[in-house]
Amino acid sequence: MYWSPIYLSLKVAFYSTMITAIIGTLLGWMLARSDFVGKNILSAIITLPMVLPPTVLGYYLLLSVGKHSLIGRFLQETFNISLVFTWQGAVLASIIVSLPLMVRAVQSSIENIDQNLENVARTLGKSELIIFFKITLPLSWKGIVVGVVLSFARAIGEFGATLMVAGNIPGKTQTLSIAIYDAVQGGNYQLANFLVILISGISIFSLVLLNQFLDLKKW
Amino acid sequence: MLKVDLEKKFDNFEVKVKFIVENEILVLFGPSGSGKSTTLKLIAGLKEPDQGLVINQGVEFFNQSSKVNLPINQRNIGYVFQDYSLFPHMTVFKNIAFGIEGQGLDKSQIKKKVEDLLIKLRLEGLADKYPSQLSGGQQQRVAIARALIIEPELLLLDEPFSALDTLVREKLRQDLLRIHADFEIPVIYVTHNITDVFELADRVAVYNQGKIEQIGSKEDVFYRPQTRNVARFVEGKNIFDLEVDQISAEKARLKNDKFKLLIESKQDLKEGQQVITVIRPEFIEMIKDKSKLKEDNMFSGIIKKKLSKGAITRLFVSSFSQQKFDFIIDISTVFASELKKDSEILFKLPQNKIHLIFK
Repeated sequence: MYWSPIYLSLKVAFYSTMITAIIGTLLGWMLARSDFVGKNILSAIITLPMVLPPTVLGYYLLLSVGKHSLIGRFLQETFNISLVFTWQGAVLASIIVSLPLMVRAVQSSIENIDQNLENVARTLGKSELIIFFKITLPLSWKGIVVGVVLSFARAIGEFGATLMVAGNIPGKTQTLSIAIYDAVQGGNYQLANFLVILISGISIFSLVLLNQFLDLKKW
Repeated sequence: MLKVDLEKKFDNFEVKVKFIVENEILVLFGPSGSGKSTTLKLIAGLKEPDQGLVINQGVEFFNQSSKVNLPINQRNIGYVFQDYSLFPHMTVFKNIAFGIEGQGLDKSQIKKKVEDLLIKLRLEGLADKYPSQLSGGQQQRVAIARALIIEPELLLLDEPFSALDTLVREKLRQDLLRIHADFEIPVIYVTHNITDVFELADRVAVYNQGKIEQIGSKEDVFYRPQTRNVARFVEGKNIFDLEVDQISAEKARLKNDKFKLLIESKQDLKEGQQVITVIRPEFIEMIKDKSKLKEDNMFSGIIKKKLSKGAITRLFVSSFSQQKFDFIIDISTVFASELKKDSEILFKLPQNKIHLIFK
């Protein structure tokens, strides 16, 4: 009982961070380096979860992936997956709330790369794909690491949107932060204290680790 | 041979240039913001021209009329940037090898090519260093080696040595001349440093406000500027507005409200015509004999300022105005020590060294 929300939170945060890292890096790169119609709108939509109340986000998610929505029905009928009241739903909620952190971190670190480095690579006959993997990505590693750590922390701490989409089913969708809320509501302060100390410890540890890592001078 | 005929409009600036570069070094020379670097970017494809064409060794890079715009990575050009732009996360070896990696060459072939260039550019022993561990001159030599490894058919250098000190520049210029002799490709070198022009250029294009004011051999540009701006940029220094006063068979007299000059007569010269004369500071001759002051093109003046430039000392001499100077004279520093500030000197503007620009 003690460990189930911890395990679930780690699982949700792990999957959500993996997906966020990939999508967020690509989006960050697009926003930093390419020009296209609607770039500002895309940027605004990605940032929206930072300013909207989590419950609003959760409600949007419910509407868009719920059983009666187009996407929800499609997922149900083709893959037999339901995102509502499942841990996968919690992953989706975490991705949406952590994506802006990832995108911002990567975007600003790519924008800081001297574009002439990429231009030199072009004159040397390299394709855009090779330039991305050999020049842009290695030079923005700090931004990517920052984005990953922040996204992971955000996913671990996610509460509102997750509650709306995944609910509060002990052993199934009850994540760490929801379990804390549940314990306090039920007067179980022993459990609440344990989980609070644990989550605080994890957070401090990962931030210290991040700082150490960023201090590394690689070249 | 590179053929360039380009137009590109910006918000408040337009570049419109046309020139041909054989397997020689063409130096684009002119003030900052005159469109020199932009020209390189347009040739390389980093910017897209509005009009015109770029053809290098028979390959169309850009042709507006046939809608050709070859991607940068297929143009096979070497591009060297002012700030070196070395990949900071790669060693010297990796930086240089970057252009030929992933092309089916095996490791020993790559190693050999890189090592050849390391030797050519005096970089032996630095292969495993990172760019941040190198001096500016070393970094720029790595950048040149990196550009050369793909055996480019055109080399573009954008103010490559401007951040380096004089001695390092000097050596790098020699490196570049040696490399050019080896590779025999068109080289375009952008600079606003006049010594670069003197030492490197086979030909010079003088830029001003997005256009080429004059293109030709460096002798043409330095000694026979066609406009006042070119005369200014190449440090003609003694530039005067005069009017043609009298013309005889071989000579012409010019005058303005301050002084008169006798020059060798030119065709097309008419009395009353407004002209510009240019005489370079190094062509003015110092005279000792005071009795010659009555002769043509002889002047006296007060030394207002002395500026030592090493082997040469520049004198700012006032002949007509009280406060400012009228003539700039370069003399060997050996002779400069006896000339004190505020002392009077005599000098001559030799007829055959006075260059005429028609307005």
